Amino acid sequence: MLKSLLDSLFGREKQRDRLFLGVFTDEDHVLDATKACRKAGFNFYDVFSPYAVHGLDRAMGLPFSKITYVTFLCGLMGTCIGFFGMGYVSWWDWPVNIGGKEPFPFSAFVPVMFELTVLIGGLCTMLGLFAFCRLFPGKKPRLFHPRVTDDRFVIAIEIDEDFDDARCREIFTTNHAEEMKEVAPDYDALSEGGAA
Amino acid sequence: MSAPVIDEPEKFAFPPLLKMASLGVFLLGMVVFGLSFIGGADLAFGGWAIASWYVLGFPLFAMFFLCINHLSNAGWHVTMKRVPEAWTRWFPVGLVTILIVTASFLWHDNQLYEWVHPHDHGDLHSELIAHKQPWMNPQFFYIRMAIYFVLWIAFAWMIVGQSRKQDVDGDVKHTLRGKALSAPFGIVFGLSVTFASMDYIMSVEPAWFSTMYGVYHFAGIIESGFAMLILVLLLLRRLGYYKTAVNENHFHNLGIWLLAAATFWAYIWFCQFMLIWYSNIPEETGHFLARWNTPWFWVTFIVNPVLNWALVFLLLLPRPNKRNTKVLAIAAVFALLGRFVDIWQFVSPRPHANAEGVPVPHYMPWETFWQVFIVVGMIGGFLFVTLWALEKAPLLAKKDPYFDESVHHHL
Repeated sequence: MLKSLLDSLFGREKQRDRLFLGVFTDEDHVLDATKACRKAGFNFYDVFSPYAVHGLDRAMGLPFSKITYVTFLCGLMGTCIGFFGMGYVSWWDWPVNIGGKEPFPFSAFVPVMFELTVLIGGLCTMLGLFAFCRLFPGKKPRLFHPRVTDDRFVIAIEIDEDFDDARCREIFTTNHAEEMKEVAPDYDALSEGGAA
Repeated sequence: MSAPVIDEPEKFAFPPLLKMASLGVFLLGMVVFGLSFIGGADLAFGGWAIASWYVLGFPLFAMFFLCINHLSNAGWHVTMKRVPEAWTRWFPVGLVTILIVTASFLWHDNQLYEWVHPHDHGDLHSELIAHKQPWMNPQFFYIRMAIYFVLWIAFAWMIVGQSRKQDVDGDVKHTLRGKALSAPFGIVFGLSVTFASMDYIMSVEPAWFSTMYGVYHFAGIIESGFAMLILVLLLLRRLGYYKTAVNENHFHNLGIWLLAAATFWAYIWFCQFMLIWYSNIPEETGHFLARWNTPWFWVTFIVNPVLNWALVFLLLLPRPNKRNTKVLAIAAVFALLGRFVDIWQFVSPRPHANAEGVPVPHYMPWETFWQVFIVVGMIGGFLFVTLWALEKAPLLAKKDPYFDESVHHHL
């Protein structure tokens, strides 16, 4: 149910086409192969790596992350909750006189507003990231190579009308691909019993 | 990774037009300083104290920048490091500018540094100043000044000297020695900036104190320093230098630093005010009372945080803006104006008690805003000295072990 809710919010996960996989052993090779694939006009399903590879997002041509808007708006929401919450409890609902300060002690609200900005902004960034990546409790892992979380990199290209099998094999081979194969859309290396 | 191809001038040649312009701006500042004696030595030396402390922040920032990058093993700054290295040559000139501030000690009716010629009015204020005499007296003031400048000049000479020696032999040991010198300088920097800011600026209100003063000025120095570094690098690029060696990735990093420094400044600015507002101790609140119930409110509580923080923060928050040199330059100008407002609102309102014993400021904003022209003149002198110093060494430290990393810096 959670998955269908996320799908309706952030768009359905792409699962239409058969995929063509290239497995690489080196960060520089996968980066070069990604650039070459983008130049050749192939559509990426995704590129998988065990760690963040610098410049990979740009090599794939991914758009600028929208997570910053989530952070900014939720941070702003935190500021407002801090301001109106403090205003309500210490001025509107029951005016509190602390040390003879003015009736609406804005200066005393600022630390609370600041902390709530950071707290709510930070938590919502994390939750927003999970939503964008469709990570939720009970999600089944799906790996394209048993060692893609360890020391292998996988480029998954969608086999659609733009796909040119020979050209793709050529790009992967010149960039030292360790392995190449065509797989079904719901392929999972773990369920196929790949040795880990 | 291929070897970096840098096809650009390796030596900086100070264009004669710029030389004349910076010298001209400096002389105009001197004229404003001279004319300001018409309003009284008090106003003139006040403006000079603002300007000398403002510009002394740049070489202090340069030393901080070089040392923090040494200590954190950073390499991205190496292509541009000649600029902060040249800035450290301002220290001897800065010593002269501070000595000119102390010329105000000769005026017996001068109110800038009240503790130099304390008058006993038989009130608590006079008693407090008398109590602080062991620290606040001209002799000890000069001794402390000598200590700060000897330490600053000595460390600048040693750390920049290692970088110069590396230009000759390319030995990695100079980087390691620079790093070994940076660690003790971190301690020296923290203590000397704290005490120097108390000596030169906080002591214009000798009865007042703030325990956050040192870190407050540290934040201001770092923010204005990054703003100035961005503007000087853009000027050098416009003159045809650093075309590829200092690119949008380096400016992005400087933009991140400026954003962080502005936010840190705002944090400290608010902390200083809030601690004093909350504890409400008469000794401390006089400073803010003279700025709260008077027209200075608009300067201290509106213009100051808006220029130093709000505008810089909102301009530099989106990533593309930090890579856009035009937006970055606008934010840097706001930060530099903000630094003037920040020091100005410390020095010029100098509160004194009125007949009812309520603190009121000596001068109003419209009586003293022209002191900004003395600061502009001093910046002209600073550019003249440091660009002249920049000619003395190659612009690119090609034998630095981090040079390649810096050329390929990528964000």
